[in-house]
Amino acid sequence: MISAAIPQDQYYLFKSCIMCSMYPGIEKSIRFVLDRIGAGYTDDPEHSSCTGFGYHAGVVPLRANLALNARNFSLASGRSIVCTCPTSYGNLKECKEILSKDSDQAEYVAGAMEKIGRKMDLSPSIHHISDVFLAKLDDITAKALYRFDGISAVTHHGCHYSKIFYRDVASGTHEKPEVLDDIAKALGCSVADYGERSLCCGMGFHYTMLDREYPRSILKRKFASIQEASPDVIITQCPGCTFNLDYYQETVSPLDIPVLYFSELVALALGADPYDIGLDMHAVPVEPLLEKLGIGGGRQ
Amino acid sequence: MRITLKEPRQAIKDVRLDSTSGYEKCMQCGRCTASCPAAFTYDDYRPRDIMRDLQLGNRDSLTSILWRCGQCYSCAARCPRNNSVGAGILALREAALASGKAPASVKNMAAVIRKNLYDRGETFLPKDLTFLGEFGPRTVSRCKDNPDKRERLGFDRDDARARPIPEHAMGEIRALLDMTWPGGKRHD
Ligand code: SF4
Ligand code: SF4
Repeated sequence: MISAAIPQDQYYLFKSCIMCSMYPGIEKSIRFVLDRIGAGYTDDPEHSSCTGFGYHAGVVPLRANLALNARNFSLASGRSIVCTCPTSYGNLKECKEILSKDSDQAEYVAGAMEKIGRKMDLSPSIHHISDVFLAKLDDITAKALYRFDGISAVTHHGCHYSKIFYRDVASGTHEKPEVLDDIAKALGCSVADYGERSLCCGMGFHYTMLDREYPRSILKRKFASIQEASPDVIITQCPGCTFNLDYYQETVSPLDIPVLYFSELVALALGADPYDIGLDMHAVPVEPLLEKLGIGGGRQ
Repeated sequence: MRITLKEPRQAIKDVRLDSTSGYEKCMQCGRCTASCPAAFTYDDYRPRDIMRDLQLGNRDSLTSILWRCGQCYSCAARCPRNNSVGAGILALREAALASGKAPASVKNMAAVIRKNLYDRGETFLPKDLTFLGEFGPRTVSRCKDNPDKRERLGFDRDDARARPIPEHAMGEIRALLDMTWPGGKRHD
């Protein structure tokens, strides 16, 4: 069930700093899927980071965040912004809301924009790429070369997707978002529940760079709960969560459960070579899962 | 006991604190604390108490615990009054950083992120994963060559992008940073 209106075409693909720094293959998998299903999108090199990583670390001031994203909105003008990171999604939505409602901030930012020769334009709608995949599930399953029956998955939705603008969750509720569940099930996977499903991955933003005891303490709980469900794969919606659930596994709780961003799973179903979407960059080996999926390990 | 809301001594005018955090509407039910992973981790961190301190105008007492919050917004999703402790925390962090009250490590990180934005228009870059060694020997052996794999995938080794942001666009980004980041132009 899709509660928000998801545009069908003319996407403005919004890149993510964590995604492209840690898992550039995720971006490739997203483009692979959009190309395969014939969805039109713009890959504009000019947009800046949404600054969300620094904003939620508490070090990028609100005004810089608003101004840089006002510029990003003006670049996207006329197209729907599709974010590859839930933090970009939540942050861009928040910036749009503040600029729409707070005349002091809007006036200041419009003035700054004018100085660089741009006009404020709050027309673009903002979506997460998983919402687009959900809206295009029929096209995806029609093009799928593989089905993943017999594969058991657990899902982890991004906090900044389901807990900031929690009324806008496209499937399920903010307590139990089911966007990833719907996508995985459409490919044949079964999706298992686990107690700590809505617990954060512990990214914490400044914790990523300053104090990694916080993510460790949270992931200990999260992994223990996932272990009870003993899935073949953990499916994520956020590049940051992917990083945390993937990189910390070896030292926090050696589970050896591969972590795939949902677009990587979809790209595999549509015939992508695992090597071409950079699955060998993941920390937990994905090769045993690829064997189970009937795909093989790619060109290593 | 009846609590009278005091005007805070040093008001922070910030939409995230005044309108979004909703501390004035907080009824101290504790749902935020019950769902907060930072409260589970740290004995001295309770989002409900933060709302109480904001009501009472005790903002200075929050300075040392502000950086505990993990920005997950479980508090916001669960609050029956539509409040957001996480958003209020961000306003308090911005004020703390601006007045020099943030820890040195946070100030240093602010400088790194600002430089990344100035140089590349990104907040986090591949070079910022300086702690790969913490993740265990197998992770190190699988991921140490990731910069080479980036190139294989058509990405720049050091940039978060396949195609770096063009110079004219970087000029706009730098101009906006100069106008909106306290302290004006970057001098390093
Ligand atoms: S959940 Fe909301 S109303 Fe309840 S204590 Fe927390 S902020 Fe206050
Ligand atoms: S946003 Fe911060 S205060 Fe709110 S639940 Fe998450 S860690 Fe706790």
